[in-house]
This record gives sequence, C-alpha cells and structure tokens, in this order.
Amino acid sequence: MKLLDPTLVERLAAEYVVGVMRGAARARFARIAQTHALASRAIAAWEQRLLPLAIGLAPVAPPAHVWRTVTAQIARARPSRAARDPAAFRWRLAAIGLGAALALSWLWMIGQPTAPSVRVDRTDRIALIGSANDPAWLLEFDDETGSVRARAVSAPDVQPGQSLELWLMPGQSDGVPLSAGLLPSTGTAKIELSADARALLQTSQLVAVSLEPLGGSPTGAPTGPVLFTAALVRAPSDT
Amino acid sequence: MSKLSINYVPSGALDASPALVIRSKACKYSAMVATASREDECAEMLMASARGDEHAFRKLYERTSPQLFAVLLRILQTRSLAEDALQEVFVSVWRNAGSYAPDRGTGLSWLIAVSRYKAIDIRRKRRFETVAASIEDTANIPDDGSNDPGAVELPSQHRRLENCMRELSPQQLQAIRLAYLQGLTHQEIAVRISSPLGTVKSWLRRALGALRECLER
Repeated sequence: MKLLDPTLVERLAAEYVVGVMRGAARARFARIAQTHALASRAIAAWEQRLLPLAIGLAPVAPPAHVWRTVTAQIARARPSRAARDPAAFRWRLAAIGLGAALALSWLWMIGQPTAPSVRVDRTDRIALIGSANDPAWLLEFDDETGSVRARAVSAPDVQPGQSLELWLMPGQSDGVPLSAGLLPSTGTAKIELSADARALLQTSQLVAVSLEPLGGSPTGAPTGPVLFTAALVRAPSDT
Repeated sequence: MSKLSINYVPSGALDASPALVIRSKACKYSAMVATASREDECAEMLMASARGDEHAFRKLYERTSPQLFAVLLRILQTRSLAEDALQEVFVSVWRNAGSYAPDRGTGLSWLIAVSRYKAIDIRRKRRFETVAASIEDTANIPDDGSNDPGAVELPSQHRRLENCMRELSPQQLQAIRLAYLQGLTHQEIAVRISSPLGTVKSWLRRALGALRECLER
C-alpha cells in the first residue's frame, strides 16, 4: 500500500469511516492509522464531516441496567489496577488480607502509639514527588472522598519553625493553587481536602510542594520557595 | 428547524426518512473561528474521565448515551445487541479516554466513531442477512429527526453538510446513508437498492469525493 499517496489515503479513510471497508482491509487500515498521522487525520476529518448524519437520529434513552453494568465492570477492574501499581509498598498493602492488616495495625499501634492509622482504600491517582529512585513522598489520591494518603519516603529535613505544604495546581491557566495540607516528614498521613480543593482535584493535573512557616502559609497562597512539582497521574489501568 | 427535502428513493422502512436535522443536545459545542477558541463540553468530560474523574464520566454517559444508543440501534437492529454494545462502548471509553485528543475532532465525533465502529464489528461478526433478518422491533428504532425542543444548534460547518448533500444524486445519498447509518457493506447496499455491485462502489466513491470537494469549497 502506497501510504504516502494522499489521494489514496483520503479515499481509504472515507471508505473506512463510512463503513464499507471491511474484513482484513478494515483491520489493517485501523492499525495503519495508529502510527500514520496522515491516515489518522484523514479519518478524523471524515468522522467530523459525516457526524451530522448520526446526530440527526432522534436520541433514544437506554435502559438503566446498561449504566449499572458499566459501573460494575469498572469497579471490578479496580483491584487488578492496584495490583499492577509499580510502587512496591502499595503492592504489599493491596496483597495483605484483612486479618493480616488488622494484626499488623495492632502491632504497629503497640510499637508506635502516636502513629496515625491509615485506612487502605481506593486510589484513583498517584503522584511521586522527588526523584523516581529516591522519592520524597508518594501521594495517593482518592478522588471520590477527596482524601490523600501521603507517605514520606525520603522527605527533606526542614528547620524547626518550618513546614512543607502541598498545593494542587489549577487545571486552567486562570486558576490559583489551593492548599491541600501539610506533608509529614516521616511516616504516613492522611490528608482530608477542603471542599474547594476537592473541586479543584477534579481538574488538577499537577501538585507542588513549598517551604512555609510552621503550620503552613499564612496567606492561603504559596509564600516560600517551591521545592518540588509532580504530575498527578491516573493509577495504572488494566487495559 | 429546517429540514432537508431531497428527491429521495425510499428503500425500505428502516431508512425511509430524507430529513437531515443538524443538531444535538448531547454536548454543547461552539467554535469561534475568529478567535480560534472553542468550547466542547464532550471533550472536556472525556479528558476529565481520562484523569479518573467518575463524576465527569457519569455526566458524559447521561449526556451522550441516548445519541449513541440511537446510532447503535440503527446499525444493530435489536435492542439487546445495542444495549450490550453501548455498555462495551462506555467501559472502553472509561479505559481509553486518554487516547482522545482534541485534534482528533470534537468529543462527540470521537464517541460516535467509537460506537459506530463497535457496532459495525458486531454486525459483521454476526453475519447479518443482507436484508436485515431481525426487524422485530423496527417500531422502536427511531426515525431520523427529532423535534426535541431542548436541542442545541450545531455550528454552521455542520449545516454545510446538509447543503452539500443536496448536490448528490438520490442514489448516492442513499448509498451513503445505508453505509454510514446502517453499517451496510457494498454488497448489502447493492442488494438493498437492486443495483450491480460495481455501480454501487463507483456511486459511493464518487459521492464521497464530491462531498469532500463541496465541503472544502
């Protein structure tokens, strides 16, 4: 197939989109489009051109069981998503059964009575702050409850009278960073986001850590140097 | 709401309406050519879903599933098949929303493409009869065009398709509609409209070329 011939690509894209291309040719052209920008652009252009035909169909409400099946299938996929998480400690947490977890938390509380107890729950997104080899913190975000589990791995030392504050960066250029809370220097802390921060979490794709006076920024905006930024990435999916 | 009147040759109860109604209330979409800015609600909900935002995903389902279900029903002809396909489409949208990018077209265009290709695959795997064998619930399959008062107008570039389709011959228009809306192959279209296969192929090819030329004028 002479893929550099734009006229041919154009004709094949039209026949692919309108649907008359079939069988092996159809599968092959779909594969080609994954790597050839000319083909994928031609397909997208035809999809857009013919879209009004599909929009012209009167909508039909699907039965409620369709959505229930969709959510059930997505929920079923979650445990395997956690199991493939490359962060080793999380992998262990996910693998520990309920009994073992209870026993461990009991031992943990005996040994360190002041340590916060951390519920193991779902992880929608993660952020690794610092270098991948020697991260300062690992953050796990539960988008639904708006909570963050922050585990200090190699958190930097700070002077007495200083705190490290986590910020959610705005998804849009006209937004402002919102404080998510203070990061622990050791151990694991669970941070509950404010209502505003929870709302921002839905669109935020970046977090930052700044050095602030003890207890956090007095102004509600970062005042000290930004020490780290990290991308908020979706927890690995199983497909 | 303007309807397109064309000297259209009806070819069976399933595709008897010549109306092209260019609008959707699935997602608001507006484009300002002068400022190159655009607002695409479906694209925003898709990109939020890619970040794991379940609320956005639910909203996306609520807003677009009736339109996608209509598309799937038209190609698959039976409710149970269309319901299964819709469910597969949304599970796959949740998992693959990250592969949508705004340069792939509008969010709704992408969703409809994903749905149509899924339905076409299912239809071909099941080796549908050339003339649909299963028309048990034809009555439930929507005709073209709605009179939904809440509909949002699509921008003028979509309306241009309406004008360009006016320039096609009735056979060309019909061949495009049977392929695009019902997922028919060249062979199936030839049987449906009682024309030789070679003729159908060349009609369709010329129709697509003419359409593109007209849209790019």
